[in-house]
Amino acid sequence: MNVAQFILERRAEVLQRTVEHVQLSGISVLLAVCVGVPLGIMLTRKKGLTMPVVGVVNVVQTIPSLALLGFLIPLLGIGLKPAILALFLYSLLAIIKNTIAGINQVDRSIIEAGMGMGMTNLQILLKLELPLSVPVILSGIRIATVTCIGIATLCAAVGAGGLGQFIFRGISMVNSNMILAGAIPAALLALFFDFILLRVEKYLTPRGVS
Amino acid sequence: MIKLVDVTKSYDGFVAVNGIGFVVKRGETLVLLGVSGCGKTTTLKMINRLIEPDSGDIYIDSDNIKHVSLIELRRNIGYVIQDIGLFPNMTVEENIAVVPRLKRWAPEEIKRRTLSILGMVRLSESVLSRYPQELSGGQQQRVGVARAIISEPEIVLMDEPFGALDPITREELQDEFINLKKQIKKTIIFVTHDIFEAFKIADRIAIMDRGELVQLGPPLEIAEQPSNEFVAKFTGRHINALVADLKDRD
Ligand SMILES: Nc1ncnc2c1ncn2[C@@H]1O[C@H](COP(=O)(O)OP(=O)(O)O)[C@@H](O)[C@H]1O
Ligand SMILES: [Mg+2]
Repeated sequence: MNVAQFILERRAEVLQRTVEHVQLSGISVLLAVCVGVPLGIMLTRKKGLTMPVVGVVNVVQTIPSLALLGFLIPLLGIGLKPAILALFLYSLLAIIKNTIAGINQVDRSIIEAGMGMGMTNLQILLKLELPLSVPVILSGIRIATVTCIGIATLCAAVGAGGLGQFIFRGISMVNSNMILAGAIPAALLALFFDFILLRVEKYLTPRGVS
Repeated sequence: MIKLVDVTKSYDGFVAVNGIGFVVKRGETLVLLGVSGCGKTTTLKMINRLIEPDSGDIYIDSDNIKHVSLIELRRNIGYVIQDIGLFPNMTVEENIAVVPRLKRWAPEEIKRRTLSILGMVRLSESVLSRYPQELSGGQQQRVGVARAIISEPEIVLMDEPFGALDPITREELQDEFINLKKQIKKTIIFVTHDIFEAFKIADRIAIMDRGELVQLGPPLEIAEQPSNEFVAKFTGRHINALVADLKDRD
């Protein structure tokens, strides 16, 4: 039996696992955006905190994914919670770093002109800094999403479902069709979201900003 | 009227502006002239409080600017910088409308003033929908000037506004500036390190050297009676050309 037939036969489960996978990654990235973008903005205001915060997030990033999931089980049990927390932590770095980079690359003279014209700090953030850093911040979110979709395959190990189910089952059964039934949709998902978010990036980038 | 009284500013022990004091009369163009690094920008930015002085006082009319709301102060002072600092995410029209919008003018009023200001800075209406990066350097700085004066501030601060332009465009904008200042009758402080530019556009010139004010007076007086060695050397090389130019003008 070839892979295509194998997947077609199990299309209901493939679909269900794909939905789980998207939910798992989506929730995690969304949370990371909600925390990471404001945190990144704050860090451009309090430069002294940038090193410690980015340092900690960097260290978290270096913990092997499977190990991190393992550490979280005693704290949060199994299921969605440890999975989402782990994926959230992995997504955070790219989002924070790109938010900081995006805002810092805005030309100093533009900010100075805004201040000189009597814009408030909030107006400078909303009308200048954020619009001008949209491409960089969004590419951080895109990188985070693609990474997350990859790492999310490991979350089946803590009972969080997703396309990793097929992969782990396939490994234990030494069945490569089973592994591919998880791996192929996961790869396609990553490509798909990369493409979509690239579109969004282009669409949301203000005209006049190259 | 702008008055600086004994204003000093240091950066980590380095005195950038040292006990400066002068008065700019209403409607006059005062040029702050001096070599790069002598403290011109620092002086200028203390007037719209982008930089706070360590000591000394600055008055606009009779108000000490320390006691004026920062945002109000800045919205009532036009500001033009060498780097132009147009907002790349906004069209020319939006760039020009920034301060009027901050001041909550009615849209029709903004449109009307925008069109009349375009004429003053010699831009055509067709640039309104363009983005700054689609304009030449000269056009960009014309927008910069329009943006600074649209809300009719009493005071305009200009920090080497033509410094980044090629010589031909620079001269063009200087000539237009002379016409413009006659039309709008604002109190203008204009910073430059270009002695020819200073003599061309100034009503009075304030010469700075290493953070200090060394001479203040009309161009001809500066040229003919330099107050010290530095001014004499600074103007000296070009003195004949400058004086001839000035006499030509009268
Ligand atoms: N933020 C700063 N920190 C340290 N030194 C500064 C800063 N800004 C200006 N300076 C120094 O102060 C002096 C005056 O600067 P500035 O006012 O920009 O001079 P100008 O506009 O006449 O070229 C220069 O020597 C400059 O290096
Ligand atoms: Mg300067």
